[in-house]
Amino acid sequence: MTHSRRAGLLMMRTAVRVGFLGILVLAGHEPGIAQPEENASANGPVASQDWLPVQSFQLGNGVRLHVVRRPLSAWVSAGWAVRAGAADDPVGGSGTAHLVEHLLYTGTPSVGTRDWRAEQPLLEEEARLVEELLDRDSAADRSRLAQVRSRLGRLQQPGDLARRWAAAGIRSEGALTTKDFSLYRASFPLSGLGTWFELELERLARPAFRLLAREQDVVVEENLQRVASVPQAPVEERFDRFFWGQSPYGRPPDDAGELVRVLRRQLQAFHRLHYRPENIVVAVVGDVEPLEVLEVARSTFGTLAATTDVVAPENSSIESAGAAPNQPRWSAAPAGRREVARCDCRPSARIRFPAVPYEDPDAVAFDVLAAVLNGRSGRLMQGLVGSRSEVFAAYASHKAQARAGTFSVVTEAVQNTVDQGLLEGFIAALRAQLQSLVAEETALRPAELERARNMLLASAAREVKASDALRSRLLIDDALGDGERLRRWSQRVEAVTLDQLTALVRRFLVPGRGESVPGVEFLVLHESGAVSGGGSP
Amino acid sequence: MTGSLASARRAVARSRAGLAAALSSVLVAGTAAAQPAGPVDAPATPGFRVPYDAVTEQRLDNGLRLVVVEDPTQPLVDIAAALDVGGRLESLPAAAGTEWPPGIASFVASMLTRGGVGSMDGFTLAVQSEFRGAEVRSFGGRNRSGVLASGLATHLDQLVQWVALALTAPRFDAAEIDRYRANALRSLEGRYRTTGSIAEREWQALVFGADHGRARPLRMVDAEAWSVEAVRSFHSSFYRPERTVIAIAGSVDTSEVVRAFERHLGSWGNPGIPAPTGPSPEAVSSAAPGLYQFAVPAPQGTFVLGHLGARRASWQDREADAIALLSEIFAGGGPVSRLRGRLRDREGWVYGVSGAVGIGSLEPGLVQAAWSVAPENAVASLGAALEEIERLRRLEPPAQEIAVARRTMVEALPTLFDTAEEIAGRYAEDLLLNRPHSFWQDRAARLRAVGADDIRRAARKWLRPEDLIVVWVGPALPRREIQRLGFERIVDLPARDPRSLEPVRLRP
Repeated sequence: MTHSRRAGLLMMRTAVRVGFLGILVLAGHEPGIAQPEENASANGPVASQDWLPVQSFQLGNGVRLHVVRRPLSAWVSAGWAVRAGAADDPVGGSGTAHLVEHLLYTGTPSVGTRDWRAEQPLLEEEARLVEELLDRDSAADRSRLAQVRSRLGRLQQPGDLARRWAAAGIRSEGALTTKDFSLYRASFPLSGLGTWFELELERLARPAFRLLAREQDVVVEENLQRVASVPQAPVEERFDRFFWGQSPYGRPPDDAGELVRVLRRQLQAFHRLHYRPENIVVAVVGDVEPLEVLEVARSTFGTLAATTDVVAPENSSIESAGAAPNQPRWSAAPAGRREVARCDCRPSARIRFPAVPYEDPDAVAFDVLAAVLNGRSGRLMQGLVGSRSEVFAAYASHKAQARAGTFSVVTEAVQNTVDQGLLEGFIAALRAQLQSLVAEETALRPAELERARNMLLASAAREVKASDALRSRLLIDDALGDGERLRRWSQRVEAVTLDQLTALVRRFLVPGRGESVPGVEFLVLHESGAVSGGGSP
Repeated sequence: MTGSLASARRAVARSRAGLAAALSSVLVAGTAAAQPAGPVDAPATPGFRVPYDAVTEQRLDNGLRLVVVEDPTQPLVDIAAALDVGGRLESLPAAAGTEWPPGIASFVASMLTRGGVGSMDGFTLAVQSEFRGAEVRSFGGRNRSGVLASGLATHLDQLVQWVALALTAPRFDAAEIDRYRANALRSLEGRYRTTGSIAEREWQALVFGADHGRARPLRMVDAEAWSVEAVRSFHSSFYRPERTVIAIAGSVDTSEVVRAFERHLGSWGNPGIPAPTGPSPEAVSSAAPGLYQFAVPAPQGTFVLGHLGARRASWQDREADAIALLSEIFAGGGPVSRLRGRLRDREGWVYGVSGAVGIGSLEPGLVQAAWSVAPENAVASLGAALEEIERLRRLEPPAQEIAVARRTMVEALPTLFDTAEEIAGRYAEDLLLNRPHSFWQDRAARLRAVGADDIRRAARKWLRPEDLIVVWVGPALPRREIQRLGFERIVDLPARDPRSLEPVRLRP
């Protein structure tokens, strides 16, 4: 017996055709969306050439905007990002980018206060007292600081921004700060679009930088939760320092000792330096008309004045002071060829190679190479897990950041009790696998490339099915320097050739004749004597 | 266009008309900014309709139910075969009066695809699927098990065949079972390395009793008991078409989908063994209320507190709606969370707080809150949380707070139906739970019917300080300060053997 409640989406089917070229055909964006007349810059708009109907614009002041119309979505996912993150923290000011991100939730002169005119001088006095106390402890200053904070407490309204969002149906999805960018996310019904743009502009342009001490405590707690309480995390930070040397990518983010000494004026300086229109990207995904979104963006974020009097903070690092977005590129400066660490975690051996930044044309080839190596039928699992009983897992990972990138191959051990000798054997096996990619008899085959392409194309489609995921992808791509990535993804993946991959391996991953062995080796041994399972202190 | 989509579009059009007005009214300068702009109880998506009209439901002759949502805007098809099978069923007797080995349900689910299907071993299946950019995997939990397949829509028939083989003809090869059991054992070693994971494990054991299926973590000794025979027996006992709903979403034609499933699963029949019924919820054996701590040196410790919660009487249960609003106010994800407002926004002690006043449908829910905090703020944060619980019990929440909470929940409804996959999945879950399809559409009206007195009544019934079981994992807390908070019972938890999780020694 068949019971049917069919009502179908036949009109939808005719509206957007998605087919396959090789495996995925690049479909145009929806018919009927007029090309926007905004031609304020050479960069926008760009016609969609891939299967996602992404419309990209650049406002007159440099703010970039990506919009995707999704007719099935009754809810809008939106966000914005700034191209500045923990790697841009001034020297001695670890946590600055992260603190600015937090303080943008504490309001503005018109949000989060009962009386800004009364609050503002108190905020300045609070900042002055904190600075003096950091310089020289004084009971009088402490007493005065307590009084000031008490008065501020009566004026400030924590949570006011959240209440305003709620009134417009806007649901904050939080923010995050990476080495390269900070990203702010929300979702709302279409009716909340204008409110969202206005409130975001308000806090982006005029943050009050209030409640700094509270947020310093919160960020310290956050760091404890994410790093200090996770056995593997300190090891990763140590490896980063070893690999990157003096490069800002090697500095551990949110060092508590520095973070609690960051001053309000330093945050304001960071904000002035980096939160300027040309560093900002906005993304909106939902059942929206791109031209309408453009209009709202133009009337809000488009009014953000380009900062002309940018001055780097006094103690800014050379790398970040006044630097253009995502420039300059940074190089790894390893402290040696091998680093060994111990933790209460699975033993592993890895080789990390310098690669290319996110926007580099070779970045996609590294993605394809990782796909060749990964998966149960990939080279590493077949070559290492299938043939060695001591190996639990083997994989490759490509991490492209805004100003540099890395490519890693990793092997994890089955047993906790392995010694360093076995891990060194893993390293040799990983190098042999990489060498085999360019050896004549085991060189890459067309079927491997085809498999890798199919995996990447399908996984990209899978990754952006949900509106919020698509929104975040668009922001991250742009913040890392490649706003075209998603739209060009199919073409770029299809364009990667075996010759290109072979050249990449020869250039970055295996030594040429007479050259030293590339890459830095990291060995993780299990903590001696530690009992797994949280069973004993 | 279907009725629901059309009405959703109309609502969107109405919203657009208000866009210009909204733009000019958001920000007001100076002191007028103190109050939220606009009434908070007016839903911003008044015309939202749950898009179930986009769903086609089909039932094959063998009882297998298919739920299809066509979405031609993306190149993929996603198939989720969900079964009313899970660890909950392990409490039923196995053949000849024996018991199922703990964890067998989850292991059987994991072996549906990993061990290979039909004539393909696991590696061959991986080669086949990875070459097509497809993913085929299985899942298992307390109440659900099943198979997920995702790939390009042109490979629909191939995907359906893999799903069918995983459900009806998993190989359960002895060597593969040994291999994956070994991997499962290795994975167990790293489970309890953070204060949060240890605290959650101990709290569950105290609330349910150590041998309850919801509390008993998988132990190495359990995994070693899984045999090929037990795996095959569990599969043949419970994996049946009448327990199965399959949701399909993507760039597909429904008639093609139905034909593919008739071809590959139309002959999936009853194995001739009577299907076990039940089970009844397992008996709970909670420990005495109090504070239980496991002292471990750490820069930050974790609290988990709470007790057993409610079980839904029916899908029309009005108390459930009051509990849902109470949960949002207590520790929900929206702007009114009392615990977050106090511990994070006001005091700055924590980065985040999670929690809920839970209500279950098959089994009782959990009333729970959890947060990580520096040791020097631990006792104060616990005291503040207890004060917030007491305040919810004593006073009716203000109308404004209820309105924001209600609106947060109502406005979030569309996010549950953002993709075709979610629409199909939620509809399929309705079928598995016998939940009326009108449940989501009526949710806003039901929440509007909840008053402040309903919420306070729910708080008095379901937030019970006298029943709280509090677990702290972190540096030892000062007993005198804890006692000042009213805890008479303070117990030191023992260290556990990492294999058996049995206590290895008692602390003084």
